[in-house]
Amino acid sequence: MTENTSSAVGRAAIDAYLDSVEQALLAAHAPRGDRVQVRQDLESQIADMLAGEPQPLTEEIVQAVIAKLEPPSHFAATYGNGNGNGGSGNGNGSEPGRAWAARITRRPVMRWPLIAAVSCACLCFGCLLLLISGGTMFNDGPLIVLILSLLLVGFVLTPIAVWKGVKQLQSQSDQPRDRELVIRSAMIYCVILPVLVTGFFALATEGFILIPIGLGAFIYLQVVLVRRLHRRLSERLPAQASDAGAHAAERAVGTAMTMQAM
Amino acid sequence: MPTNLNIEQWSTQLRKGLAEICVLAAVNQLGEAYGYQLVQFLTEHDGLALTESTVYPLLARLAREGQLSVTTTPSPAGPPRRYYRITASGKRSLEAMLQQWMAVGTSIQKIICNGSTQETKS
Repeated sequence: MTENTSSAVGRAAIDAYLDSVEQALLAAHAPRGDRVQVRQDLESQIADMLAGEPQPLTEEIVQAVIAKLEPPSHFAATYGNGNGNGGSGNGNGSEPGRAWAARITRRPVMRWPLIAAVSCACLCFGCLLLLISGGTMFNDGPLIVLILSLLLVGFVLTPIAVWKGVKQLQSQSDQPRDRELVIRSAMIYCVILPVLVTGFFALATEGFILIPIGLGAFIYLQVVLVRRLHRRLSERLPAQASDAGAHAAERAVGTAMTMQAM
Repeated sequence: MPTNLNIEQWSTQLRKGLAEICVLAAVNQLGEAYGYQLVQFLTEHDGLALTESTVYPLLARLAREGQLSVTTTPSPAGPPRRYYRITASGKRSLEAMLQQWMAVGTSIQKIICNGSTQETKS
């Protein structure tokens, strides 16, 4: 714990208490950030309480300080799943009262990362069907309805779900699988969206849109190529004499100033 | 039946409902305060009986919601202290809560006064 409160004394007891509180919060589905904050605040409180005790500290003093704190289960009550008394310290929350609190605090939580992944899969599946059906799709009513539905759901829902998923993960970042789902959904969406948009406009303009897009791509590639060539040549060729002379002059001035200062 | 009412249980629920306004008001009054300081401040006020098991999770939630800002600074007593300060959003929430509190309090007061007046008349 701390240097000035006899770091080793009672450390195990303090850790055990803090771990119990964290476990109780975890069981009550408290977000990870909240668990960390509560633990830090409690640890700071224990340190303050120990600082007010006669020094040097003993195991008994530490145990007595921990005994003054509330049972770990009380900390979970705020999240509607605790076995405690609501933290007031002197009441016993009844079953109806707890059920009422649980109904308010434990509303069904939408798993936005999962929704993002599903809507992204809809988009991919729609694209796949579009490719497979090819030119025949316009003759098949139900198929085109299915494809358009999938594309529409994926197109609209994915960015919303990714955004909501990011917000959800920022507040509750203990789901590594959800993190991967959000990242992959966002990447797949970013790959598919330009293709779909380009394809749509190409169809709508009978391919005319491909000319400015191709022209833009060509110019972009030229710029990239020229920049890369310039960088490579600048790196490989020796510096010009004037540049070398300027560097030498700078070094000389620097040396002279150092000598003057000495 | 009113006689069967567990007054302790009722007051626990009442305090639980008012914990948020108390914590926000306390942080607002203190300007900047760390967790234990707030617990001590709230404990000084008889009747509230807000302890660390209520205050710390509430502080964490309010900070997560952006109603409180948190600054961590080293402490001479041990681990770094987390100082809480009310944000503009927190102040707006507090004002709204206070308005509701005043409205509810006034209405309850009126009902109680009417009741006592009628009892006196009869």
